[in-house]
Amino acid sequence: MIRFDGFGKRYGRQRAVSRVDLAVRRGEVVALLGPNGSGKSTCLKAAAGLVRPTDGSVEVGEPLRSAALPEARRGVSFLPQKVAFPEALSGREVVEFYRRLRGAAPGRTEAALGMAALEGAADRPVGTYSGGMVQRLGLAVVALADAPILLLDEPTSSLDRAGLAAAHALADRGRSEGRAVLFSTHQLADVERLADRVAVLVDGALVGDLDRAELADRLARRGVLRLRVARAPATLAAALARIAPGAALHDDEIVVIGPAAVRAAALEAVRASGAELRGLSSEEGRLDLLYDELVGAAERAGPEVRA
Amino acid sequence: MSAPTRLAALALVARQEIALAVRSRWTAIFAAVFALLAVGVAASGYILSGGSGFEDFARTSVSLVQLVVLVVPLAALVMGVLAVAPERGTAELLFSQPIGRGVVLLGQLAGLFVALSAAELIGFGAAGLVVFLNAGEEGAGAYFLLVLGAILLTAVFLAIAALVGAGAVGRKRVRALALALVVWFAATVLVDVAALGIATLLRSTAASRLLVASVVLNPASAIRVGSLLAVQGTAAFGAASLALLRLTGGPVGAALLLGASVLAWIVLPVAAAIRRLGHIDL
Amino acid sequence: MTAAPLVEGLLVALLAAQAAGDMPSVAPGQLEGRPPPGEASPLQARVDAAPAGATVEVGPGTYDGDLVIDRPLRLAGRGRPLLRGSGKGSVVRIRAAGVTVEGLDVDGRGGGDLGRDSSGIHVSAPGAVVRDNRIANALFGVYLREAPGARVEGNVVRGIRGKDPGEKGSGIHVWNTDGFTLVGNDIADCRDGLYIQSSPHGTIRGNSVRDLRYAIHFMYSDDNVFEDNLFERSDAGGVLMYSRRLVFRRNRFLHNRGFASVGLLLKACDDSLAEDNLLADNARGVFLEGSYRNLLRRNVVAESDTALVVYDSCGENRIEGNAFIANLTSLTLVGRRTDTVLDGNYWSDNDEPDLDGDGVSDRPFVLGSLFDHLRGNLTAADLLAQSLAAAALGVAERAFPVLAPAEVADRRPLARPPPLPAVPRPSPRPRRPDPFGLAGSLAALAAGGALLAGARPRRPAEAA
Repeated sequence: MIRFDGFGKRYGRQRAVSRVDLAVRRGEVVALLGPNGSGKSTCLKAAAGLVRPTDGSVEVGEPLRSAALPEARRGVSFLPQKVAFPEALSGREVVEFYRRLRGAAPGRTEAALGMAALEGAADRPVGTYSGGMVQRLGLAVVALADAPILLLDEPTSSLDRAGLAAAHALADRGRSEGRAVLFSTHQLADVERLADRVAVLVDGALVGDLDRAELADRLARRGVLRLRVARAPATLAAALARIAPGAALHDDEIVVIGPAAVRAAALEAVRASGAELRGLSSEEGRLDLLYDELVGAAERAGPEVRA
Repeated sequence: MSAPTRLAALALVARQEIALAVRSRWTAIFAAVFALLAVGVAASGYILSGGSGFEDFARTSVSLVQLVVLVVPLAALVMGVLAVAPERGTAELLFSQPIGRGVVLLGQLAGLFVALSAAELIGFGAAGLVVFLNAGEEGAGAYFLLVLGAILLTAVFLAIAALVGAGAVGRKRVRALALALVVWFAATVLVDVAALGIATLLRSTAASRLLVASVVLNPASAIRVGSLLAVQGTAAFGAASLALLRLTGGPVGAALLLGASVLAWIVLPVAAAIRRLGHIDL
Repeated sequence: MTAAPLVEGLLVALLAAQAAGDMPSVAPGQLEGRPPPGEASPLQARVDAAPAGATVEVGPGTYDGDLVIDRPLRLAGRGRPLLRGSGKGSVVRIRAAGVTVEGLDVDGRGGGDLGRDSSGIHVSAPGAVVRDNRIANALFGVYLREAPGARVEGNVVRGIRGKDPGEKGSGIHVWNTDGFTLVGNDIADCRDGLYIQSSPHGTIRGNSVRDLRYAIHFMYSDDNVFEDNLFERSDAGGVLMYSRRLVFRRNRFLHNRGFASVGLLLKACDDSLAEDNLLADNARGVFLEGSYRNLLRRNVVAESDTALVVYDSCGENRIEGNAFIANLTSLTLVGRRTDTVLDGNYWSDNDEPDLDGDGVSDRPFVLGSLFDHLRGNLTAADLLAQSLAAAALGVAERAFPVLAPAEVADRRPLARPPPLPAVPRPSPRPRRPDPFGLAGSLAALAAGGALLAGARPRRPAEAA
């Protein structure tokens, strides 16, 4: 339903995205993950027909057609990163306008407003909306078209609880109704809650395409254990180095990066050493670390990929 | 319910643009200022005629044309740029819809054209009441020509606004707005002054040609001169009318040439804007 | 040579050519005399039978044919009889001194020959009186050819409307006549209204002339006086050429707005005196070329596009104590300089204060902006008159005085409009509501309002 085929985009001499190959099939929810400026928005905009590829192609729909074609976009609903609306229009007018533009049934307006929990504010001008309400109105517009392809650029940022629920409902329903959903996010929680697959973009290059279990494993492998200790014996460093080669010991802080088993062993070693444990935190996964790892892997696989 | 045709989509965008224009402070200001000035001009003509008895419609029409040439391009350029270059989030949502970018642009222009023309009709209508309450022998036909001139001017400068502003989302918006003001200044003052300045350095035949060419090619001047010639005949510019008519091949030639210039200034910028918008990344 | 003198020169040449066309080509011996029997009026027998000094009364009715009067008598219409000419020449031909023709309607049937002076009433004898006649469809209305002492009074002349000016004659044409009086005539639709050539010592008073080429036109005619006339809606109100010592007062030159129109034009016209005249709503108010020592005082020049056009071929003219009101441009100087004295006038666009309260602005009023100077030397610049460019030049000129051309100034501009009680009021123009215009305006208001109201926010109930 969505296919990036060697997609690349340059803005002048600046390369935003290079050679992305990615396909999203019907019934699939794919998260685009990556640091700021990694090209997530550019990919989504290309699929929405807003950005013209400088290399390769971006096609949508069934059959696949260039996203630049208005007809191809009949099956696409796109939520921009910072969606905005003319402030003088009411929420209902906005939804009504887009409903007519998409040729959706008249009843869809109320349904979409309801889904976005905006029934109460529907007749107020958008100018009086909070940031979260504007974002929800965006979700309402995206929902009303009933498009088989959903492109959501950071749909959960700046959302309140109601919005979050709406966003999640949208993605879930998309999956169950056989739509193709591609969304970008910074938040692991979104990925875990919503995505079937994760495509990782770093510096405009696709460095990983993982399913949800793989991602969880990868993240678990890159878990971080942080300990604050007092009276650590001199032998502790050597003990830790045996268990976790990358472990670092500075003054009273110990940082251990690795799979859960390694971290558990490290913790055990600290306890056994008789050091006094003053603080403990453990994270299951750090995205930045994962990015680094994936980038490293990509570079090892072949430098031309990121050239 | 199926997807709307391109024409229906255009009408939909146009309708929304009218709604936005109606609620915009700019339209309100434009309509109010235009109506006030127009009534003021008409009333001052009336007062002069009441006082001394020789102010006539020709003089009122000159003042009205001046007013139109000053205010209408400014309003069309500013409001046009603001409309065709919306906020990034608005533009992205709108242009990701399954309609062509050209359709969106044409719809926006059509909506604004209707809204601004309506504002001008109100201004001219109010001024017309003053003029025609005390019209003497002057015809309504000439006044209609002035209105037509103003509406053509609106179309021309909306077209130019489209070229200046199409696709200028985000920070480029401010640049487009600044450029629009430069265009306004050039069309209303700069081109004429430059033409005059250069003309003084030329021999008389070449100077006349240059001035006539600058008048024909500059849409603001073309409409100003066309309106006044249509209303007053050759009396509008005395011997200069003769020079114009001679160089353009008589009244029919002049009308065709001025009309062609105005039409070109409407069609070409819009075509160029649509073309450019088609290639642009939003 | 710049464009303006070129075009103006062209116009003047054109005037001269047309004036030459006006010159009578008839040799005295070839005057239209006695009409042949087939063209003669049934009145001819009565005129021929009347003794000198008699009054021939003509009753109501239509009399077809031409009539020659070759003895001193009075031909008096009773009940507006109509004399309908043969269409081959002048309808009434006065060939004896002391003839009076009055109370007749004369129809020239559009016929005859300009070269033979074909007129409604043709006078070629001294001491004629032409009074209270209505003359229509004649090439010339009344023609005075070597008719000293003639008095033409209270006639109405309507020329042949729609006929090219080159193919018809003047309303009242005076040629080579020393001493004549034209009073209270009403003339329209001719080539020129009152055409005076080589005829000194005329008095022209209280005539109304409109809708033709030149309302009054002097050629080589000195020492004429014209007062209290109305000259309007023509190519020119007054065209005064190659004449000296003309005196004119209290005339109205109004609404001469056509192409190259002018209220009052003086070319090679010296030592004239113009006072208490009203020149209003003309394309150009006063046009001076090649003329010397004329004095214009206490006139009102109002609402012209250009109040004064002065060529540098003029000299020693004085323009003093006039009121220049609401003109778009005060002065266009063609050429580089002028010695015209322009002191002590009132200029409505002079906003210099009069702080010492002596009735004179504290600073001289500089006439002619940079733009005026440009347009004076470049005709096509008028296309930009009243544009913002012209205004911008004005602003630049005030900001940077170095741009200003060496110019003419009124050194003692009046701070307030002077009382000019002798200047006539303009004729009141018919002023009434225009139903079409009002309906159109209301329609425009309604259409504009409806267009805008049609896009008002729709209420939820409608939207649902």
